[in-house]
Amino acid sequence: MFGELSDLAGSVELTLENVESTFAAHEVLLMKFPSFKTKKYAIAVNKQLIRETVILADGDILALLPPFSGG
Amino acid sequence: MEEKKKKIPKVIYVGPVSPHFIAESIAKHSSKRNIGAHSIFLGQVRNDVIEGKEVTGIEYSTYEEMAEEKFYSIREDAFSKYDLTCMHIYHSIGVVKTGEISLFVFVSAKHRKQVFEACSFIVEQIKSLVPVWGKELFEDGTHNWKTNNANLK
Repeated sequence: MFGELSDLAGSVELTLENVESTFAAHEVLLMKFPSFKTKKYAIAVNKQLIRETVILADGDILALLPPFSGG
Repeated sequence: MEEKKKKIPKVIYVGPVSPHFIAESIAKHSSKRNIGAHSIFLGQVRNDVIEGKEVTGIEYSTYEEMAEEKFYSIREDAFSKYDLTCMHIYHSIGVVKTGEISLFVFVSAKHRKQVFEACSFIVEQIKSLVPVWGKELFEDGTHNWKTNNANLK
């Protein structure tokens, strides 16, 4: 989790078990951090932005990326 | 120094980019006699006022592995689109105070047209594609997460 989301979650990294897909992982995260529901962010799996649900394998890294504000 | 060509140049730079570093970078190019034009973009942290509070600095954070990959692909794209001699990109992470430089893009080519266009292309690509977040810091210890719009299409 990055940017504002890490603030809201109070942590940067966590491990999720028994989640088969990005959809399932996202559901778990929303349960844990309901405040994410009002936020905008993109999801990346192993550094690639995804647009649709992706099946997850052990060790995949999911990242929640709020709108970028670099530069 | 032979290895240098293959190595992917690192873009992420801890702390502000100093004017001295920028000057040195310019000076280093005097030996490249085929260059006829340089273009430089410097992003400086601005003292925006948000809800009556003035920004004193921005604390940048990043998803470094992904960011370096994005910087690399922006670099490759720019090289394939424009006829450039060289290109350097540095982006700060950590705290950069207002008035200090957080982004340094430096492109060189034979002629001016290439560098103007490439520099603009690179800066726009960085703003929209690279996972970097800026937290605007206020004097009273509070903060606001900066948002550049139009990057979640």
